Amino acid sequence: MSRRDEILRIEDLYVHFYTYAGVVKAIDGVNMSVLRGETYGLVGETGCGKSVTMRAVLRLIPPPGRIVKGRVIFNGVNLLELPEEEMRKIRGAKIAYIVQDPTAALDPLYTSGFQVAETILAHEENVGKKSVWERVVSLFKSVLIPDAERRVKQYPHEFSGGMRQRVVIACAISEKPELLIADEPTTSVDVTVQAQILEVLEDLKKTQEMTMILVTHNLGLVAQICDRVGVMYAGSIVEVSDVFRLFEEPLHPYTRGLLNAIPHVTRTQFRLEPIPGTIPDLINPPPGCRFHPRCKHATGICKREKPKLREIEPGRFVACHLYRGD
Amino acid sequence: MAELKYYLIRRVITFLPTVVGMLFLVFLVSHIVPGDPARLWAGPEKAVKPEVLEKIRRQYYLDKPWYVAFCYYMRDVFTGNWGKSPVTNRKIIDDIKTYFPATAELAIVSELLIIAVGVPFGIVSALKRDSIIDHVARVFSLIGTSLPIFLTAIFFQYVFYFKLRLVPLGGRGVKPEVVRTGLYILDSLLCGDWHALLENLKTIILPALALSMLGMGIVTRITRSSMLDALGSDFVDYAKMKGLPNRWVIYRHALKNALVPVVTVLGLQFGGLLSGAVITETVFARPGVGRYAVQAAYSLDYPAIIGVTLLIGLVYIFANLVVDILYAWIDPRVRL
Amino acid sequence: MKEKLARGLNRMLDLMGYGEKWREWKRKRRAMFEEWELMYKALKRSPLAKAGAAMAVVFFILGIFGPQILALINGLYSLLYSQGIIKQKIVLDPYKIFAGPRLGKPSLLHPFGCDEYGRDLFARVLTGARVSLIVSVVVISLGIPPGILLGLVSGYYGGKVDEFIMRVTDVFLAFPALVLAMAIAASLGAGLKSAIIALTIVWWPSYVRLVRGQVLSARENVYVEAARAIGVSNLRIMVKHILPNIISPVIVLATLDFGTVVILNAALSFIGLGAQPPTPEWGRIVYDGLDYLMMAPWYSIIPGTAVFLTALGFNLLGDGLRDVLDPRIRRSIEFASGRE
Repeated sequence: MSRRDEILRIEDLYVHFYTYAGVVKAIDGVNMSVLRGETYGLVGETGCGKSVTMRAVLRLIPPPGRIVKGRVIFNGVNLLELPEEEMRKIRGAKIAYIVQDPTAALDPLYTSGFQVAETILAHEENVGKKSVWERVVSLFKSVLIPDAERRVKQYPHEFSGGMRQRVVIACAISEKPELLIADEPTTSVDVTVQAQILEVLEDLKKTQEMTMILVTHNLGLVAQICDRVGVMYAGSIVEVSDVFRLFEEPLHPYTRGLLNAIPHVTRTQFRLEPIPGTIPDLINPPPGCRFHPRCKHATGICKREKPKLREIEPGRFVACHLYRGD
Repeated sequence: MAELKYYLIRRVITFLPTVVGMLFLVFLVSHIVPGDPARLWAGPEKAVKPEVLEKIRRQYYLDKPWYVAFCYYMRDVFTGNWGKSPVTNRKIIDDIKTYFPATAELAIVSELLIIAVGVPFGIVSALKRDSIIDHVARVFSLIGTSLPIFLTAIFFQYVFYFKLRLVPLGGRGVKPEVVRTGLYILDSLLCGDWHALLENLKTIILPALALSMLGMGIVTRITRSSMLDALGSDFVDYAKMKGLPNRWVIYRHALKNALVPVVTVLGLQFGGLLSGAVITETVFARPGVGRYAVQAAYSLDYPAIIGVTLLIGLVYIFANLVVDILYAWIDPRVRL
Repeated sequence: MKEKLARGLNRMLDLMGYGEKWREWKRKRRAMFEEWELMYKALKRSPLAKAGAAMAVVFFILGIFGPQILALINGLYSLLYSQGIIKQKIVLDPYKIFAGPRLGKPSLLHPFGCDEYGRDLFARVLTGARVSLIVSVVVISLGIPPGILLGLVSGYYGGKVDEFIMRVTDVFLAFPALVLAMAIAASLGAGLKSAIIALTIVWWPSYVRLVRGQVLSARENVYVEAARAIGVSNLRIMVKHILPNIISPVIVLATLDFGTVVILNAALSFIGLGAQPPTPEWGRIVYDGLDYLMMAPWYSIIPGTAVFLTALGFNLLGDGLRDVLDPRIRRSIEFASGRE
């Protein structure tokens, strides 16, 4: 699989939440690989485990969740085996995270500039206060926050939602990370601001040569900026493809369902087709392929055996018994 | 910082109506009573001469309409004319001046004890959730909030004075060489009278402990739950994502946010301490305003009870003002 | 077991002809019933809360049946006396002086000892439960409804009404409860009635604050907007739609307050402003015993402990109930009981 340089590779990852009601098998054998310099889109419905997978990369699964098994290989190193202090040095410096809700993520008691500065101070020793502050101002400028010199001294509650998201982005790029994980970066801001945020992100990606993982349920966004896409359903990746072929000819029945459920401009289409059924209960997930209760092509084997993610044509992977190839 | 100044000015302005409202409430309670207020103010003697009642009516403006009487009453309160005790025939304000330092000292020491025990206990209990220490903290706070102060006070007195003879029975302690503030502990520190300092500490420790049990219980519980909230919040999560060292995450982000509600509770506790002092001082025979009020209640010295009520109310809202200022200092959102 | 009971109840109501009405009523107040069920489930899970409930029940039983229990014990004593097993004729009576030795130690016949008049302290403490029970029930049931009402109005209408009600509430809350109650009780003249009135007057403001806060958030809910959109009257929205949904925190606070009222009432009597002698009131007995603390520590400590245990019981119970309100715990209980 290593045609190009792989920056991140997740192998056979399992994450379970041990709740009062039972064990929630949130992540069930995820395999994915992200290439250096690309923009990888991770799509799926709310609650399918996209964010949990990404948090597992940073080893920040909130209790009562635990990574049960698997490997997360970043630049050739298995992150799950690193000592905590080494892991901390990677968070925010090598792998940066842009959160969904910047309003809740920024500490209300500190100025926004300070919160960017402390990220720098956490990863660099022997830097002067003054030079850090200058860097913060220039970071604010680079994420297009107007009047940066004044804004750095303001508290998060004095910012608008879109501006707060820019502060979070400034935090994320402060250490020039190799991998940027953007978890639904535009859901909490309104549409006009969404476009601006995306512009900022794309610009940064070009100038800083970063790899980016975009976690979203918005397929339009994926089509707009991603190179490759992984589709997730109920804790596993069901299909991986480059963005053109995915939209042209989706393979997995779930992906097809997803694409039929959004309006399409180029096709004449009169009705949107929802996927029948609901997301499965992850405490007692359906046996075999987790999608089979909602799948119209389901056969006997789907109820018994969980399909593996297999490459069925160059660069295209799908986990479905329909494409067994034999 | 400019906004902080404006906030303070605004806060002081909104503070005034509360003071007036409070005075009005006290006025209501003391003037609109069933029967004849003059008779009540005249004291416990059954047969009071009509000319004495007449004099009291004039003195407390009972012959005027209530709104006029209230205006006079406010003027009197602010000019320090808080009435005269019919029992001792002394001015209430003078009595309060004599007795207040003992109460203030007790309340301050108790507040410090609450902060010193409740806050760290709550933090540790949140950080080590479901450990032994957490369970101990929970039981401690439950018992603390259920113990009536008189029981705690009596129990401490019985064990540490009658049985162990470790500390004095109570009282006011030893007067230091130079008295400047009236708070004996502070005074003996200031003039370096170590013997008096030790004696005063020994005198105050039991009443202060008994008085602070309730507050310790409440503060431990509030600190624990607000620390848990902060530890589970998105900004703490995000601070970890930024790769901040654990120490920064806990003390800089979680703790500071957790302290915001704790400060409010600490302020509210101060009022509770003043009312608890009424009981503690009675058990330990400490000559403060609380014991003064109880003696007044037993001898039906009505003006004295009202005077103490007024004093405690004023100190209480002043404590709340201080809390609001602290609040604004910690939390920038409040200043707007 | 529970289902059997419910079925039996239903059948009984059916026979009486109220079955349909009851079920209709229950359907209409589904939200409230679900809250109660949730509280019950939370209580079942916590041993501490169960202990608290047991202590509260004991307090109620002693308060209601105190004299009967005393009579029962006296019957037993006279039986033992007639059989010649005990030598003295003993009657446990809270008011009878020289029933035992002055400041007598706790013994088999006087389990809590005697006071300086030789009155039996066991009888006095037992009878004192009724005084505390009456005070707490009256104060809670008279003090809370006005608080709920004002809180509802304040939170629902907002604006000037809200501003006014909250200012008044703030003034009341500007005093520590005991101090304000002390002043009111003193001006009414010391006595049990004054103590009850004083505590009732200081009790409502905290409920105004609590209910108002709850209403402010409940007001934004879709069902309230929907009700308003279809033209339901304000009064009806407040009583039928908002109140059942915010009632559980009120119940929790009221449970905790039961203990607080018992403590404060005892404190008022301790100060000399509550029930007057010879009424056996816990706080007053503690005060009276203070002079004899060295010779007869039980005199003060036993009634004080009665206050403590009562308060502890209600605190444990209220704490268990409060857990339901914690959204995180609540969710897990709801989840476990299949309500999601």
